[in-house]
Amino acid sequence: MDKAKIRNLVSENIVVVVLLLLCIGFGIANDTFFTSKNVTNILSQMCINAILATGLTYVIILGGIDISVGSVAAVAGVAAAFAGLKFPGMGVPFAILLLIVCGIIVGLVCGLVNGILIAYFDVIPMICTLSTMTIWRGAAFILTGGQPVYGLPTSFAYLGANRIMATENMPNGSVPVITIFTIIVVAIMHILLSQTVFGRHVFATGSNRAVAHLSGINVKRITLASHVLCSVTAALAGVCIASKLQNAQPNAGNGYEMFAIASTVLGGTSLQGGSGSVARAMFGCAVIAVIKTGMDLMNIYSYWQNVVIGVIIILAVVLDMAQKKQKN
Amino acid sequence: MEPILQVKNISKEFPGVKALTDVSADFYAGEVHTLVGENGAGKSTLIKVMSGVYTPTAGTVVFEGEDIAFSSPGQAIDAGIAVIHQELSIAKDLTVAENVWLGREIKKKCGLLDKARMNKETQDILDFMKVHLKAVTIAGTLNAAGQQMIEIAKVISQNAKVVIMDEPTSSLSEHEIGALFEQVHILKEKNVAIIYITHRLKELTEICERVTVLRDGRKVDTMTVAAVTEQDIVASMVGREMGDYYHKHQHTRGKEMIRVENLTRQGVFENISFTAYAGEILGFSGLVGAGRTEVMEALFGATKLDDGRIYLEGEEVKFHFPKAAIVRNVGLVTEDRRRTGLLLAKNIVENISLPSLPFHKKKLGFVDRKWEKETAGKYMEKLKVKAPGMNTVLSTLSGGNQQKVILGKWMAADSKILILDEPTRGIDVNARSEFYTLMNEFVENGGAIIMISSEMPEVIGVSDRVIVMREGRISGELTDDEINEQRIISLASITSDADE
Repeated sequence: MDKAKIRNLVSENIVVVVLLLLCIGFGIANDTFFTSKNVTNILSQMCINAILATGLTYVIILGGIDISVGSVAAVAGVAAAFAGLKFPGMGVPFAILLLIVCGIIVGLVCGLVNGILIAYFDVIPMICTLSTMTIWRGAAFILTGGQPVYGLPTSFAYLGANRIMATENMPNGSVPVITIFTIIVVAIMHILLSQTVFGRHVFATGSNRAVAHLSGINVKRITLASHVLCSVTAALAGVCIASKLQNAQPNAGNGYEMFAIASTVLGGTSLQGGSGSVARAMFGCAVIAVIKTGMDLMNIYSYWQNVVIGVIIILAVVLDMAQKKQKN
Repeated sequence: MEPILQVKNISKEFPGVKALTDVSADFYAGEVHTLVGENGAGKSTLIKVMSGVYTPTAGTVVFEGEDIAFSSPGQAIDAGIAVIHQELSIAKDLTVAENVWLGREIKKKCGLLDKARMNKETQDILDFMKVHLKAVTIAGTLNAAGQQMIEIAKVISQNAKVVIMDEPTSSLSEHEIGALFEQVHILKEKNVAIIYITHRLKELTEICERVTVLRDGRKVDTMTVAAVTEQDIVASMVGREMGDYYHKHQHTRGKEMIRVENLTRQGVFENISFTAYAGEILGFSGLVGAGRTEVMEALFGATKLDDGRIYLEGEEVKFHFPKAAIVRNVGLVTEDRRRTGLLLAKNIVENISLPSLPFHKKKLGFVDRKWEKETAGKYMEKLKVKAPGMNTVLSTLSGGNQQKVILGKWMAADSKILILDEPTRGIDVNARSEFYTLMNEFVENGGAIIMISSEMPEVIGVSDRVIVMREGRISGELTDDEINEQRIISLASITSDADE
């Protein structure tokens, strides 16, 4: 391959390059980085963020935003916990079904609120989701009285905390169940976006709303559907958090929206809309998970992670803008 | 008399492209000198060299007898070279005066803005231009013609010695063009040198003295307008004899394709009734603002209709959304292809397939990529779209090729009725000629075309029948040899005895 092609490949996949560099860097600085235990840890930590990022990708491609995802996650966890308390003797399959159904229902409701306000009442996404973020957070505290909801059966925790496929090294299981769940969600969302007519319509609407409208696309419906998908994935992430901890906290997911948006942007989805990919957002999630885990291993004060990740987001966006200018 | 501005042996190269090669020309004060050439001939590049946006790779620019090297457009403006771009750069929320003084605001001794003085100076200029505009009007409330007057007022207030106008008439109606030409005369009387770019050769005889023809980055010739014919100029631009480039054919009228009765939208248009037939190109003429685009957008379902009926081949239909019209094989090619016609960031395949995707779905809603690629290839060949490949991003194509992709989009959607709104705006002579051939083929294959055009020669040269609109109503319908400039203008014009 000639120089120009290599340059192109690198710039299109900069997030993968950054990921590799980070892994190498942390691996050198810390000899426990590349252990299977740590890698499993990273994958498990990534999951919540990854689920959040899948739905958020749709909304960002549309040219909008959703910062209420953290609050939706909290409400979903609380709802699932209250439901779970009603079935203290439930088995694992029932528990998983309960979690998913709660996630979908809460996500649907929250998504419809956002979607209807944004698509049919022309409320600016930032303002709308800022408001719903506050409202759902308040609701979570009201419903729980400010206290965590605990006393849930162990079957409730299977989805979020269990592992399967025991090995010699890891008798408790090597693959977290939540990772399998995440992979399924990511796969569905990715295929829906990249291979279906609906996905194409999302890209078209985000690329140029007027053209999409004149090409027969119902842009309001596409906007509504995208916000519903975003909230549903946020709610699913929320029930996973509750499952993992085996209790529901009203302040769960606080600040998660930033990491989810960061992952999406790092993965190459432009905040201006029209382009992006669920699969690539996963690389963004990996970058963030590697940074968090790596810095934890090095015993760096955890709030430095915020600083580092914030700086990386800025660099990623500046790079994206510069590349776009060059293309023009 | 010495020329005020000269370009001598200018070459400009970009990586992989030689945009200008050894171009020389002289521009005199008080003269209108036009640059013509196909898209890609180098007109914009030459302008950018003269106005400080680009530095030439070779050659010199001489202004008022001295070699100059502008390193920024600001320097060119300070020196007295002003450009009025095709895309008007007006701040819509600011007033006329604020726009005119933007970047050169007059300040009081204490440092605050001297609004009174800026308003007065602007009003003086507007009065001198004899336009009925107030300096305190918000720019966004004016139409394209009005905003252009702001640009002209700006260059007058800058005391520009050279004014470059890049296709100033492309969004103006005949009436507004007349008003613009009056301003050009006023500038000429102030001894300003005017460099004018246009695709509309008709305008050359009206206002300019000399014309320079560019082709493929080189200067072909500089001619005195009075000494040549339009055909000579076209031949120079294209390098061959063009003949009748409207390709006027005799069309045979087929069945009734679409009939509309009493279409009304409160405050915009009223009682619009007409019929379009297979095998026919129906032209829609009228002043800008007459309501033609609005009628078509409402017909297509993109905007609301308050009253009226639409019949497709005799059957009544209602188009509440564009999708309803698309399903019934109607296509709309919009006025502004960059803003509402294309997904500029996407490639040819994705653009051509867009309206048709739901009709060629695979199971579970998956996109039929095979069909997509085959269709894109088919229409790229049929319409002769010049592009490196079907994955080429639209923003890199020329205007003419972009318009062909839009046409391909609707043909891929099996459109039988095509509504074209200013289809050849901003497209060079060669591409236009190809487009007219495609239009003829379309109607000869049984399709119907409704074409909105503000360009008289195009309306007359291409249409089989012409409907003229005025102030939201149909003022007349012309067929065969009734179609001439005088009849169209009299039907389109808003005059005192027009309200009968």
